[in-house]
Amino acid sequence: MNRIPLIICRHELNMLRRNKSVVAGSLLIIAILLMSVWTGAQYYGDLSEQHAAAEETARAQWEGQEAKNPHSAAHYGTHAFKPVTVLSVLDPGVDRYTGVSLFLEAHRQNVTGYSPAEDHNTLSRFGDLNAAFIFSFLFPLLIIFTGYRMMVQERETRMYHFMRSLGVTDRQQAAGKALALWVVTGVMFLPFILVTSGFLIFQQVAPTEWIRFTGMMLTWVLYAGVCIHITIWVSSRVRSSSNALVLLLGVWIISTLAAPRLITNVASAVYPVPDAITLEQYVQADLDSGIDGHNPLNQHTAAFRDSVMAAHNAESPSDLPFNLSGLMLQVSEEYEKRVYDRHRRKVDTLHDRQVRLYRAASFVSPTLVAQLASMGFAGTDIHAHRDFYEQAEEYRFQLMTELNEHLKKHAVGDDAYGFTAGNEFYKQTVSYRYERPETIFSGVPHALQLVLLSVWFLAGLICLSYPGTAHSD
Amino acid sequence: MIEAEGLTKSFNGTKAVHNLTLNIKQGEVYCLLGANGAGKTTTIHLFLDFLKPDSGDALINGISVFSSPVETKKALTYIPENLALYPSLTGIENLAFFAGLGGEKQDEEFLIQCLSEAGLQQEACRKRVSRYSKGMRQKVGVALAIARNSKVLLLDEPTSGLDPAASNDFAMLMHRMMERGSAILMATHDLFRAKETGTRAGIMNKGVLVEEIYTHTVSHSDLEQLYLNHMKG
Repeated sequence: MNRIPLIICRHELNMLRRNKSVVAGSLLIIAILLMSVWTGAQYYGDLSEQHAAAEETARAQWEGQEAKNPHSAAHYGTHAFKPVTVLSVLDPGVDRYTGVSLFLEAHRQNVTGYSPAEDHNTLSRFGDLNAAFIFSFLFPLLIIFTGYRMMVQERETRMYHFMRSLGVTDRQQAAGKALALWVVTGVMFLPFILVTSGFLIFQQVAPTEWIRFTGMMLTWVLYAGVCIHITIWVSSRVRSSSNALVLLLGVWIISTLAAPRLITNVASAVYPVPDAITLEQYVQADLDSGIDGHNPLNQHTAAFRDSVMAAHNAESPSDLPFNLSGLMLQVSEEYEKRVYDRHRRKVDTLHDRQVRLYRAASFVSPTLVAQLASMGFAGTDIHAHRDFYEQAEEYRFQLMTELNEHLKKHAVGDDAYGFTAGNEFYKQTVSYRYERPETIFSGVPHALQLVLLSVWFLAGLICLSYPGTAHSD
Repeated sequence: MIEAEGLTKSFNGTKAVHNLTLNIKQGEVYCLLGANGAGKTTTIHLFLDFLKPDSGDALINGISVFSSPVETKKALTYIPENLALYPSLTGIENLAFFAGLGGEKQDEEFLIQCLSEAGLQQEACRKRVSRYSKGMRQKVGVALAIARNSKVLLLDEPTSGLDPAASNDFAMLMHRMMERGSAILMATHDLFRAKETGTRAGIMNKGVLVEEIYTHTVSHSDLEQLYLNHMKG
C-alpha cells in the first residue's frame, strides 16, 4: 500500500489535535451522543414501565367489568398499547407522531392517539436529542467544519506546489485527508458504539436487535462516509476556503433541512391522503350501503334477518336455535371490517407511494435515505407502526367475534332478553400482546435503502478519486 | 545533473521559454537572472513537471522529468520564494512530515542534525513555525534537501525579501550544498547574490537564454552592465 496517504493522514490528525475548535466540537458531539443514549435509555425505561402498567390496567379493567351484555362490553372496549422498541432510544422515528395507544371497540377502527409529540412544540422537537438526529444533522456539520479547508488551504498557502514537488499527487492528498476525517469519525463512533452495546447487553436484547443495531451503525457509517467524501472533494475543487464553506453549508441545508420538507410537501401534494374527517365520511358512505347490526329498519339488516328466518322456518327470532342479534352483530362487524380494511389499504397505498417518492428523491439528499434506513432498522418507521396497527385490529376483530359468538350461542330463547355475561367470561377472552416481526426485512426495503446509500458512498469515493482540477493551474 | 534540451513553452501564443538548453553539473550553482516575466519561474516549473513543454525535454540525472516524474522528483528538492510550512507545527515536525513524504527516515536526532546543518539553531527547531522568519523557513527547506540527500536543488527567488544578513547566510548555505556535490538551479533578481553565490549565471529575456557567464570571470559592475544591456536590447 502507498504510504503517502497514511503519512498525510497522521499529519492532518496531528494538526487537528492542536485545533482547539475541532477538539472542542468533537468532544461536544461525543458528549451529546452519550447523553442522548443515557437520556434515551431512561426514557425507554420509563415508557416501558408505563406501557406495562397501562397494558395491565387495561386488561384488569376488561376482566373486572361487572356482569353485562357482551355487546355492551364491546362498546365499553379496551386498549392496545404499542410497545417501545429498545432501539427507539437511538432513533424514535415516527413513534413520536403516530401515537402509542389504540382504543378497540365494536364497529369501528380507531386511529392511534397519545403521541409524545402532542406534548411538544416544533422547537422543542428539534431540540429533542437522539443519536439519529445527531448523526443526520450535527455530525455532517462537524465534518464540514473540520474538513472544508483541508484541500483548499494547501492552495491558499502555496503548499500545494511544494507538495507536488515532493511527488505527492492530488489523489494521495485527498485520500490522506479523507482518511484523517475517517479517523475522527471513528473516534466519535467508538464510545457511542461501546456505550450503546453496554446498554443492549444490560437490556438482554434478542439477537435480531443486535442485527438491527449493526444495520443502523452501517447506515450512519455510510452516511458519514458520504459527508467525508463530499467535503474533501468540494474542498479540492473550489478556489477559496470561504467558497468551500459556503458551498458545503449550502449542501447541508438542502440535504438535511430543505429537501426533507420539500419532498414531504411534494409527496403530500402528489399522493394526497384524505384527512380523518373526510376518510370517516367515505367510510360512513360505504357502511350505509351494508348491514347495520344495530338498526333493524336498515333495509340490508331487514333483508338479512328475513333470509335467516326463512332458512330456519322461524316465525320469530326466539324460535331460532341461536341469538339473531348476536349473528347480525357479527355479520355487521365483518362487513364493517371489510369496509374499514378497504379504506385503510387505500391510505396505506398512498403512504407507500409517498415513501417511495421520498426514497426516489434520495438522489438530491443522502440524508433522506439514511433517515429511512435508520428508522427501518430501529423498528420505528411507518411499516413498523402499520404492523402494530394491523395486529391490534386483528385482535379487535377476534375479540368482537368472541363476544358476538357468546351472545349468539348463549342468549337463546328465554335468555335472549337482558342477557348478561359475568366477569369470568371476560377473564377468559383472548388477550392482546404485540409480537414484533422476527424478520428484520419483513416488508421493509431496508436493503434497498442501504443500496441507495451505498451508491452515494461510492459516488463520493469516485469523486474523491478525481480531486482538484482547480489546483492544477 | 540538471539539463534542458531545446525546452519551449508558450502561453496563449506567447513564448514563455524558447528553445532553452542548459547543463548544470554536480557542484555548480547556476543563477538564472532576468526581469519579471523573463521565463525563470516557468523554467523551474517545467523541471518540476508542473507544466508540460511544447517541445524539448528537461532532465534530472539524465532522466526526463516528463516521462518519469515520480523518479525525478525523488532526486530533487524545490524551495519556492515563500516556503509555506505548517504554522501550528514545529520546525522538526514540518521537516519530519516532508521528509516522510519523500520516504526518508524520520528519526528526531537526524532531523535536528539536518536543521543544524541548514543553519537553524537548536532551540528554534522545537518552536512553532508561526514564529519563524522567512530566512528560518528557507533553512527548513534546505534541511529537507539535506534530509532527503537531494543532489539537485531548484530554488525560485529564495533570497527575495530576506534581510542582508539572512541573505548572506543563505548564500553560505548554498556554498555548503555545492561542496556536498549538489547541482543548484536558482532563479533570482539579485545580481549581487548571483555573483557571490553562483558559479555560472544565465540571463533570460523574453523566454530566451541570451547569455551565460562564469561568475568568477566578471566583476559585479560587469555583470550588472551585461544584464542591463540585455534588458534594453
